Parts: sequence; structure tokens; C-alpha cells
Amino acid sequence: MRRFLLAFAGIGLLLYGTVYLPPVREWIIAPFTDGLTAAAGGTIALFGGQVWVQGNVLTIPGFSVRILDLCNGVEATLLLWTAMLAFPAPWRYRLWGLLIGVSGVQVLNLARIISLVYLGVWKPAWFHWVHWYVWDALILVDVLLIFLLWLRQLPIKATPHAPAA
Amino acid sequence: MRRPLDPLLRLLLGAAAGLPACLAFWWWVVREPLAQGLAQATNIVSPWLWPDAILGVGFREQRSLLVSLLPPLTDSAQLFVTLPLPLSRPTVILPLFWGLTLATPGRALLRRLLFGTLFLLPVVCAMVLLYAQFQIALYRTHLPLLTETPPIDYALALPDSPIFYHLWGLGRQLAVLVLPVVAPLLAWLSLHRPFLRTVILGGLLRRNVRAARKPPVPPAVPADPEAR
Repeated sequence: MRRFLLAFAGIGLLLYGTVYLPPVREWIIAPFTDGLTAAAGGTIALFGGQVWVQGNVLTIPGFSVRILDLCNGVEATLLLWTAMLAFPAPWRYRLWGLLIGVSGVQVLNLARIISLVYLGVWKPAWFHWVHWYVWDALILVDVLLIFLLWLRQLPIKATPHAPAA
Repeated sequence: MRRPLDPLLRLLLGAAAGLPACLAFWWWVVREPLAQGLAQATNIVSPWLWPDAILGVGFREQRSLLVSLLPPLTDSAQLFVTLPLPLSRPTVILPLFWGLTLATPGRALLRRLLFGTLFLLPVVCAMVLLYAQFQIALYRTHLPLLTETPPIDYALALPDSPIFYHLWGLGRQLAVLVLPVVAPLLAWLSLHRPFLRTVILGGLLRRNVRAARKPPVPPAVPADPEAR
């Protein structure tokens, strides 16, 4: 467990540090956030909703949101990736986990963005609370669940340093 | 005999019940006393950490803490400025951890809750201090950083160097975006190693059972040379 925690700290620092480098934010994170906004707008339009997307701003009649850090799910994805990379496992499982992980987090995050923008129209007073606390809890459970499901698929030989009781 | 519930499903159901309950308990019972305690603690350490910047720390309208700074070097009639210091965001890591812990099967629940809370309280304090430091840097340097824009009324007294300014911005991101999810999960992972082992071994057992249920492949029938 100590080894996992040390690896977690090291990999986490590396990943989060890299993501917050100004060029990475400008060339990777910002386009990704714009893409996520477009995906949220596309999903709303697919179900017949009226929506406008401009950069990272998503607008529906009566409410508008700007997708910023945290809203793009990058932090949650990095947390999951850090845990998967820090845990002793074969690389094949790790890569598979990273792919499934990013999909799992981003699908829920898309639901989060769409639900929040409609909540802004329906109950604006609840927006702040749901945005900062309820969805945080749901994303936390999502990350934990994906990690535990991934752990369950690991071959036992690959976990010689599995946490001891 | 009833089959025991899958530990992951049990955790999920427990979290579905435990997290809302803990968030409600935190919001209506412990949030405000915690915020007041944090305000007091920040007030005590601020003369050492920011002797030239913070005059005092206050708690107003049960909502946010206000940091009073030195008078701005502008023509403003204000004697000091106040900057918001949200205290609910750092303390939300506690109900998140409590909810997950209540959802996890295992012994010594109270001990796990206590140890986790004791582990997370310094993290809460660090989050508050990191956010306060960022607010001061934003106010002094008066340059937009990450998702924040500085207040209109500002003092061009001691602008931070670009690298330090970026680092304070990272501190803010750490306090507001990263630690609220990472800290409760790390505390939970550290305190629930037996559960993790159950999940890993459980997965292995399920795969073995599934493999054992598969019908054996019939051996290839040797060709009868006399059949021709």
C-alpha cells in the first residue's frame, strides 16, 4: 500500500503538473473543453432541444453555462488514470483501464453538464449546490466504481503488491 | 441460503444512501461550526503567513469568510478591501469520505471514520490557506489567471513573479478542483485495504467460477482407418 501511495503521489504530481502547463492548457485542454461543449450541445440537439454552442459556452433558452476547469472532467479522469497507473498491473490492463476510464468519466460528465444547464432554467437557486456538491459526490463514486471494477478484472499474478489487510 | 450481495453492489447501494445523508448532515449541522473554526484558525495563522497583507479574517452572513487587506493604492475611498474565502468547498471532503466509509462493509466503523477525519482535517486547512494565498496573489498582481479575474479595486504593491503567480494558481486549482475528489478517495483507499482485497479476490473467484461452468471441449474423434 505504501508503494501504491508513493507511486500515486508521484504520478499524480506529474499528470496534474503537466495538465496545468500553459501550453498544454492552451493546445490540449482548451480544445478538449470546446469539443466537450459541442458534444453536450449535440446531445441536447439530438433529443430535440434548442441549443447554441460558442467555444466553451453552452446556451439553451433561459440559461447559459461556460464550461471551465472541473466541468470538463479532466481532474476526475486524471485521478482515475493516476490510480490505475500507480497500481501494479500489466500494461495491457492499464491501457484498457485508461480507455474505459476516460469514457466512463466523460459520459457521466456529459450528463452532468446537460443536467446542470437545464437545472439552471428550472431551479437556478439549486444550481450552485448541485454543481459543487451533488455532482462532485457522483463523480467521486463514478471514479471509485470504475477503479474497483478495473481492480476486479486484474489477473491475480499481476498484483504481487496488492494492498495487504 | 441467500447469496451474499456483491461487495461492489453493496458499496454502490451504501453510497447511494450514505452520501446524501452525510452531505445533508454536513450542510445543516457541521458546516457552519467548521467554517467558523476555520475562520478562527486562519485568523490566528494569518499574521505569520501574510503579515503585510491581511488585517483580519471575518465570517459574515453565514456564507463566506472575508479577508481584509491593506488599503489599496488607488484613489478609492475604501480603507480596506475584502476578498471572499469560501469555506464550504474545503470542508465538503469530510462528508464525501464519511459517505464512502459508511457504505463500505467492514469492522471498526467508528475508528475508520475518526482516523479518516483526522487525516482530512489538515487537508481542509491546507485547502483554505492555498485559496487565501491565491486570492491575495490575484489581488496584488492583478492579472487574470486560470479561470479567475482579479477584483476591479486593486493594489499594485508587490506583484508576484510570473512563476510564483502560476504556482499560486496551481495551489488554487489543487484546493478547489483536485483535493476535493482526491483527498477523500485517498483516505478511503488507505483505510479500506481489506475491502480492496475482497474486491480483487472476488473478481478472481468469479472468473474461476465462470471458467468452471464452461462445458469442456470434447476431444477430437480420431479418424477410423477402417471406415473407408
